[in-house]
Amino acid sequence: MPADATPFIYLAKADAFALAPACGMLLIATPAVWRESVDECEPAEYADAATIRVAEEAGWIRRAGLTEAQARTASQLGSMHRLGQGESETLAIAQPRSRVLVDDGRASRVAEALGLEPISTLFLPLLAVRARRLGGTEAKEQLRALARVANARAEAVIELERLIEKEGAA
Amino acid sequence: MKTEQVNIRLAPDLAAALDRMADVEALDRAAAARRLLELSLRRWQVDRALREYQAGATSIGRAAEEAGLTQWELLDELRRAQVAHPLSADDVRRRLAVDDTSLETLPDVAPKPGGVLLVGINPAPVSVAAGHYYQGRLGRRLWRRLTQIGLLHDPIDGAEDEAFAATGHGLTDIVKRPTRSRAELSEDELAAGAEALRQKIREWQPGLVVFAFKEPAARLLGRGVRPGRCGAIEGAPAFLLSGPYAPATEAERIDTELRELLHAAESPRMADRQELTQVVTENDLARGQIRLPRAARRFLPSERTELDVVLGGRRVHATYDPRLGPDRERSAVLRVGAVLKEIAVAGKRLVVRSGIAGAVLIDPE
Repeated sequence: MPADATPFIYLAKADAFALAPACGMLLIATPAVWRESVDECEPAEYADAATIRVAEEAGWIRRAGLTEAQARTASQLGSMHRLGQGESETLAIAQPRSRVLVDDGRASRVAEALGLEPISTLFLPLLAVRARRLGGTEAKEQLRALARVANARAEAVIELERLIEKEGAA
Repeated sequence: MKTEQVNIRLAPDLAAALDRMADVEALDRAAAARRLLELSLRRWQVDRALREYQAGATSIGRAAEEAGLTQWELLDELRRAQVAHPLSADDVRRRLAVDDTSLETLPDVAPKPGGVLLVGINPAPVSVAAGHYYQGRLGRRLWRRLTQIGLLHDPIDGAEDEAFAATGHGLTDIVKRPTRSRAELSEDELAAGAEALRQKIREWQPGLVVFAFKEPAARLLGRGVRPGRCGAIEGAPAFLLSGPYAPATEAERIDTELRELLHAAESPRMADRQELTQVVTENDLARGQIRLPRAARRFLPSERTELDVVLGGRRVHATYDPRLGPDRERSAVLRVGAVLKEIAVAGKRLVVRSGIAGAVLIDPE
């Protein structure tokens, strides 16, 4: 699943990359996403960025280039919708009707308009429970860790916790 | 550096503040004014990007680019400014409602370590509705075939998966989303599913991975994969069944190959009997080695080699030396490393036996 830089940063800060395989997801990073989340950050100030490289080595992230057509689409999306390069490339490489991991509100709306299914990083603990790869208690802990680093709204976290509990009881 | 002269008039108190700053920083008045201007412009750029982002006029990525910040820095700025993640409770309900239906599927059944893992493409809606694996036309034919091969005994009609799981075997699919046909699955799903399947095999450590269809086998082993024994995945040997429309003679040949593979593990010589290792010593634990007497050697290769063994239910990579020697025969040595300390204690022996497809299983006595 193509993923933007912001989810990579949230997953790195919360040390929660293992959620991706638990959800059956292979995260795809475009060149701009890799640059924004790994190459451009200052190692001394952002030690968590090393976690992204570790996740790549573990096989949970795969780096992918863009075809010429995808690069053109990305450029158009960026200028038409005022998206960053990473966000534009992420949407441009997504297969029709597939999921994309994005947290930005504007990029999520554009994804929906393109017929894609945007997934927030905050959904991953619930999706891992649904895939029966994570227990309810652990999922809530992971959700709270992600919510802290993403500064998530309490109402969204409460709703996600409710769904995790419901799923755990099912 | 090319410069331009800009003359501005300042209120006396601002001019005095500028002079104080220049004095503290040991700068002249012009250099102090330049530094303050640079800092203020930088701050203004960041504030403007944050305002535009909060107003929904730009995305996080674009805001970072326009502010000249990395995404890490911009996210830190958003946190400092107490800007919340955009997701609302309504978004959660609306966007996850879709998943409530799309993720209704059959749960994975993990095999016991050393058991058979049967892998399909994805569940058929008829199977999901029934709550049991392989309940479509082709699926029911697969169960009959596995019964003839000997992988399934006395199944209850419509709940064959339960009988299969009861003997320690497991079931999963490369994609868990149910669809009527393979054509409804995207490349993205299949690529992600292949990685997830690798992860499951690493975790579950089956003795044999049996692919019911070519698609998942090809994803993990390459397009050239053919029915029959077909390499290994994460240390577990793999086997691809012939397709549902293969000629009868071809299907029979492949089924016989699988039957023989399973029989080799289940025959009294290999499976019903087991052998003990030498008594584990403190020296063995320190070296991460298991010493095997002559009788236990039959479960292992005849030459020095590297191999995977299932140690206390966990697959580990090991080096093996039969130590036949030119002069006298000594105990063979299997080096498994520090993991030995997790299952063995000094003064006790371990049990060695053979699992499906020749897997070497070692457990505490």
